[in-house]
Amino acid sequence: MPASKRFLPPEAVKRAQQLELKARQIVEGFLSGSHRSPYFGQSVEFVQHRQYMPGDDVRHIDWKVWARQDRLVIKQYEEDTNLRCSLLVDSSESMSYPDPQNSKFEYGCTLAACIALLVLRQQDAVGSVLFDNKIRSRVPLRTSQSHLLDVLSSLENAKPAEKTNLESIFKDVVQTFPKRGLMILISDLLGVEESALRGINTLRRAGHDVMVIHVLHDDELDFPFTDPTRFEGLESDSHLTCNPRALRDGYIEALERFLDRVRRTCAAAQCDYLLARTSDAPDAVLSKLLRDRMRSVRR
Amino acid sequence: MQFLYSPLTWGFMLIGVPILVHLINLVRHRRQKWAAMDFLLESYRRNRRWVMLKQWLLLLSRMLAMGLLVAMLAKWVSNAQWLSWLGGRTTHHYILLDDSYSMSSRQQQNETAYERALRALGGLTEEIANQPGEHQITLIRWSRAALAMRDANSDQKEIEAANGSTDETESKSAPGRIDLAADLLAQTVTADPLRLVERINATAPTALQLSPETALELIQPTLASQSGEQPIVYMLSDLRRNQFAEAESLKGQLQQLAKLDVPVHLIDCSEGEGQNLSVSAVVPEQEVWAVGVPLLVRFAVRNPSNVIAKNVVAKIRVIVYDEKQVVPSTDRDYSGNPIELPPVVIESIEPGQTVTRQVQVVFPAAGGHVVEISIPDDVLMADNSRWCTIDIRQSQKILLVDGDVRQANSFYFESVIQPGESLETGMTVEKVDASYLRDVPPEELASFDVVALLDVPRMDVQGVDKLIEFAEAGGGVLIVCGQNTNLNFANEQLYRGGNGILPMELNSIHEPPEILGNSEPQVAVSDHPIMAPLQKLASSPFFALKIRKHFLLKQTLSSSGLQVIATGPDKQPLLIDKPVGLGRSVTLLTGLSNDWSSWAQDPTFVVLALRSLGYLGSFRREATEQPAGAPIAMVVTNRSVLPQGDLLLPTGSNRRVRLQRQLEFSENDSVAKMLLSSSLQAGNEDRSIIDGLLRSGVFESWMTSSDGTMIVRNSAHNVAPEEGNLERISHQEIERQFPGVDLRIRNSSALENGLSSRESSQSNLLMGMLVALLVGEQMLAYSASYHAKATSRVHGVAGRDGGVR
Repeated sequence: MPASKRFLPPEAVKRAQQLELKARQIVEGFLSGSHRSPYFGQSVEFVQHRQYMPGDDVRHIDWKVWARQDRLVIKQYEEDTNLRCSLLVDSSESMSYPDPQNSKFEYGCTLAACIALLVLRQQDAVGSVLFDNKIRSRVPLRTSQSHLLDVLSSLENAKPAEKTNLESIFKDVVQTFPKRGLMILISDLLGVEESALRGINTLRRAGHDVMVIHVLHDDELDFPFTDPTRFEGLESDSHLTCNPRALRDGYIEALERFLDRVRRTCAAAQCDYLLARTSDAPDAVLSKLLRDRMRSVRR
Repeated sequence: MQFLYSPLTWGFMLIGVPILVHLINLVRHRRQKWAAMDFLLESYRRNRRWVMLKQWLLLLSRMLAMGLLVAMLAKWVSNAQWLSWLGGRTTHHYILLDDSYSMSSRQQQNETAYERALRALGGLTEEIANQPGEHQITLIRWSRAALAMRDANSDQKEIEAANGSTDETESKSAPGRIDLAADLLAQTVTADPLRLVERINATAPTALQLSPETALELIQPTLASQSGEQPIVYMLSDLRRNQFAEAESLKGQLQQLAKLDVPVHLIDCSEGEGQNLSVSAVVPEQEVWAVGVPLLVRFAVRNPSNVIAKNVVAKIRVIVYDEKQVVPSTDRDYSGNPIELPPVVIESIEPGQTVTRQVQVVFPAAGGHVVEISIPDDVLMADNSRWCTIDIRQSQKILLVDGDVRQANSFYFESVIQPGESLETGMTVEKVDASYLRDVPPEELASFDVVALLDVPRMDVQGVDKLIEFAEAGGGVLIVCGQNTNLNFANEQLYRGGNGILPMELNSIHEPPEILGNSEPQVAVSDHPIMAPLQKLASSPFFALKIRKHFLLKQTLSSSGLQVIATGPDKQPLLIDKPVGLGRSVTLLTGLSNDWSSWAQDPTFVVLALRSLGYLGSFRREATEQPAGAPIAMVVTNRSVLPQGDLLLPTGSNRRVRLQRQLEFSENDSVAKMLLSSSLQAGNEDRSIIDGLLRSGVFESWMTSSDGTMIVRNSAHNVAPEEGNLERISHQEIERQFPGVDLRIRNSSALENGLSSRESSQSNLLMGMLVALLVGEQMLAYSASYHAKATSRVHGVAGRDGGVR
């Protein structure tokens, strides 16, 4: 199955075409676009006057002010730029639960592909980084429509393995993408809680707009196991033979505490956070994520 | 610990099943790759000890539940020993079982009250066995209590007689021996209580009329002396009104129990009353009992119920024991030859009324014959038959002592007694003069049934002494006055200050004026057996009877026991009946000669002569019936008999019980005696003999004379008709009757379930424990999260709360 069909189901594509991804904060693009830039440029949005300095382009002198006040000032306008959206997709082994066909990784890739489609459709740049304890593939930021295939093929070629180490990965990402842009992290954040939270803060300090899509499987959220089971860690050597029913309450409590910590950290770092169940439809997840985001941007 | 279905105890191996399941689950688990191990391990670390504890408890509860289930299926019988840990004081249950004959009344499903009582007894013992603590049972039948108290009282009387004490008011009833009376005495209740009362199930109601106070009186001393145990008294009875209503002595007994803090449980074993008729009496007339002489036998049928009885057919059977032909036979109802007489139909008997009828019976041979009256079966069979024994002799001997030199008086009597060869009166006459009484030996005089002093002027004192002695021994004396009667002799010797045979002192001769034409008869009769046939006539038969002279009495009749049979002119006493010891004397205060009265020529003289002689000759006879339970005695005098005799006891079926008994002989072997008593002390090691004696029916006593002829004496034992009144008393009325008594009344049906009640109670206990255990197990399992709770779900996008920022 081609990657475009594997990761872009028709329902999701149809829904993504109706959505819009706007940068909530200032981004540093390389093209004119619909997103605010930290630079002054040629847009119609007047920002301020500035004293003329030698060397300034005389075309920017406000002659009306010179005529009335006899002084030379330069008119400065807000510059609009395009969005640089980086998809950070976790491909560690924990994402392979429960099986390769229905894994969290598959679900995360679908979400990533939809976002890439959406971003490219609005003429913004998109790139992707797949990582576990290292960056396993990196697709640079491009705005061309054909770039979608590059993103999809990198997702397709990835295979979940190894452990996760988010902090080092994010440091690497910050160096790779020095300009401010939108970082969308798609991960289960399992086993790397501390480093993940630190990594998010690293991205935020670098000035990136960060969105966290927390992908968890239904089993991990509901813990429906009843029969005696030997649980073996996907990213660790630990194992536990137990009656799951006896530990369910404790497990759910620990999970709730973990989710609460993640939510608090994201809220503190002003990141968008969304918990996505693998049973949720990807388009519904995107729809909710972007609508909430648009609402906050308008506000 | 015992189990009724012990093979099922193999099921206790199932206790190991939960352990096996646990071990299998340890080995048989699936593998699951898991990402969120941190949370799982954290949960495990936090709950490890508590989870382990719950798992062990769960395992134990499941093993225990399995054990209880098997115990329930195997019918676990609780062990009173370990239950006794809960209580230290022994509870002594005194169970008093009513076995009066009203308990044999058949009720619903053709079941007697006694059978219900036995089933209730089984249920009661099981109920007792199921109670915690140590229990003892003493079981006493009312009949045995009555026998024990009777024995004790007779012993007491003997002691008092030996000590010379005659004051009956001071004598107290002696305590009975509970050890002799009890069927079970302080038996510890075991795990199998039914075995305890198994022996009682073979018993049957007696034919006695019994009261609960006798049984309570028996156990009172024991209850008062026992301080280390908690007594409880149970009375299993049919709660008849005649037993419990207006019973002051019973009230006193129950109040005594209340003072001792003894609760009394009344267990009602009856379901209803039903219509019952009883033959309340069978009495032969006090006439001449001789071969070939018609004898009237009166019988009474009583209707104690509240419904009128119609067309009651009374069957009459005469069982002839011809001394020359009869032999003992155990395979028939009677050894004698039964003869059916035409039945008597009683059209109706009103509720609470008694109807008396009479039948005429003629016995063809001498012997101790039996008359049986029976009515159709009803709810209570025991009182549907009644018997009387009639000792028929060849003839009744009359000694005529005539003071008339012409023997005119004896002529009149002879004419009546021996009217001719074709007519039999059953009497033989011997005529003597007054001197005969002086010389006759007492034994010879005793061979006569009646001595008639016919106008005897004077007798020797020895003759008078013998005559009084004869009367006191049961003989009858007929005194006929006349012109030869000597006032002084009569008043001094015959009256003897009231101790003689003359009823009162004679005063003078009265000559009433002669009345011409039709007027009121001079003679009137009262209600007396002698004149009974004449009393019932529509018009007086004494119109033609003339009393010309008669003796007047010095005083009016005041002595008790004297009865005026007939009055003469001016209502003066003319014929007087006086009891003398066991016998009687009847005095006619007029003469038979024509100048004294016309009675000898009057037809009523036949009645007077025959019935007075028959009446006077009836007091030396043995009783025609005995109350049920009375001892049986057979005494033979002046005959040589073999040392062994037989007793045939009725069993209620055709097959009777034959008992061989050794005879007791007097020193000169002139008297042979065979005795069978229902006394508990009399060496009746075989209790079945007592059971046999407490039945009603005809008991035959047999001896064999040296010449090989069989001698039989019958004894008719009848029930007391009062017990046949099945009217019940309500529970509320009993409670009102006995205020202040810790009385608990319940129906036997509450206890009748017997084994099943115990099993069910035991099973209920186990079931309750099992259910409680399973509920606990489920709660434990729920607590141990073995049941998925409807816990809050961590919602994703599709959830209500959506994603969280």
